[in-house]
Amino acid sequence: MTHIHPDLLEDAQQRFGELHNVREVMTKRESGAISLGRLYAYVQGAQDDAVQDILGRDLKVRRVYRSLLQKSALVHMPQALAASTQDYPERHADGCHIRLQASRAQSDQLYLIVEMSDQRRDMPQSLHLFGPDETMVRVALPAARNGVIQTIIERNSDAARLLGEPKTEIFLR
Amino acid sequence: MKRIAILIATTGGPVLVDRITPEPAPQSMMCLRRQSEVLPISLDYDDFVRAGSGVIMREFGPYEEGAFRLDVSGPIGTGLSWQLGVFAAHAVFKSKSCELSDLETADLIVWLSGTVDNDLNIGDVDHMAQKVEASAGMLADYIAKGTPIVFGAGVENAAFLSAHKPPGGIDVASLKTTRDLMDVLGLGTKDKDRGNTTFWMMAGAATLALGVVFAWSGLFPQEGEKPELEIKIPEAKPKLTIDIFSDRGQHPTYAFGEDLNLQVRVNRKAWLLCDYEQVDGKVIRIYPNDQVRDVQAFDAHTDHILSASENAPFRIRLGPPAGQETVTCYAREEPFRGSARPVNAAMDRMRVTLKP
Repeated sequence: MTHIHPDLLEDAQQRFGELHNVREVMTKRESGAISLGRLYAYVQGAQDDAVQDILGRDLKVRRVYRSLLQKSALVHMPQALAASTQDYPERHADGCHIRLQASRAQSDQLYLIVEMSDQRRDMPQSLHLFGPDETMVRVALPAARNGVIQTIIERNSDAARLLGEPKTEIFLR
Repeated sequence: MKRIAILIATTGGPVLVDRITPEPAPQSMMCLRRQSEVLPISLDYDDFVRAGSGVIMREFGPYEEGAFRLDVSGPIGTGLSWQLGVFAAHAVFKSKSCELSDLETADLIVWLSGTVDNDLNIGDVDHMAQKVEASAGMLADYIAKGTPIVFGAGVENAAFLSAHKPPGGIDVASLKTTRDLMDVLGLGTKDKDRGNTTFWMMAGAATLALGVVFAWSGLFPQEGEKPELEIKIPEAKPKLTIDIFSDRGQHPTYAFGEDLNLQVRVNRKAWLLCDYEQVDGKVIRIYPNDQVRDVQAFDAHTDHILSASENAPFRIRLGPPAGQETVTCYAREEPFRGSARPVNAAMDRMRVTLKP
């Protein structure tokens, strides 16, 4: 019989939960189910409307997706510990700085700015946001220039909403 | 304040520089139709602006903000021929005597294609014939209206344009350096010497007197043909006009899944042709189309519902992506032949805003 040390209990529970989700997603027989391979390809950056659709409506698939992402992400920013007084809190981790800047030209748009301090490392191509309510948004990023990645998002988008929430977990892939 | 419309010539049609805004962001960006869509050449634009690699901050700076947002009316794919138009737009933006304009209210339309190097020399570019062809339909309206138009390009490109005898109302400017460009814009030293009566005002008056309409075949004849200009003297009867609108007005907003309501009115019996330009720049011919069996001329002074009613000949259901799209309808007293965008036709546009 396997004994789990009490200090590792929480971690073990999480791992068992993830494995359970993976098995369930892989063995699902109902129509609209997707393979783990397709989900992994999507994590790696492939475009797949079916995966995008199922991620939007199936919490278990989102959880599997998150655990796959955690293993391959270039940067992981866990939930921020302190509340922020800013509308859009700046986030820092692993030599990476993410911030939103209001556009003067279009008040309904925001600049999403990702700054990487080490320009020699691989530059991320996508931003993945996981809200405290387990919603998820993926934003495709343009190429970096001098360690800076800049794009525009709508102020009323889910991405802006999640970036304004300190408890949003962020992955850069 | 002189109003100048800057057109960047592309093989897909002329693209208007709509607006320049200094922005407190690390990178300059070029955006499509004031939407959040960033053009693929945006990083090249950032290089062109940035002090050190580019010329804009060096020539027109410093600005308190580190970057610009430049909004354009249509997509610009690849290459660097946009640099001349962008340089001109920044010169106008910096100037205290002129401002960027739309086409309708412009005192001068400047159509540009060329590169600008670090020493401010203007370089020649490819595909000039296609760029002029793609611009002919739009510019014919403004020639008829009497707005002075200048085609500006590098020396060899300008020689090519001049050799094919552009119609009255269009002047070709041969640009060796950006100093020549500044003279065309009225921002150089030559223009100040000229006094109040500018060359372009005279050119505009001459154009207005004739009501010249040009066709592609006249502007760039085939090899062996004699260059000729198609000139039509307006008849006594009123000019054919077309108005397009929807039951939600001339700038309607639709949600995904709704049907586009498109209505047309002409002042004389006319044949119609309508195109729908999507956010991604793709143009779809929506009238005539496969669902319309009996294509006929439309009666004058009647509101014809083309799309989205029980009696309408077809229906257009709107869907993603969100953004601003454009319906353009052309009217002519003779049936349209072929699938090309007509050049000598009355035209009206309706902007459609799509939201999820």
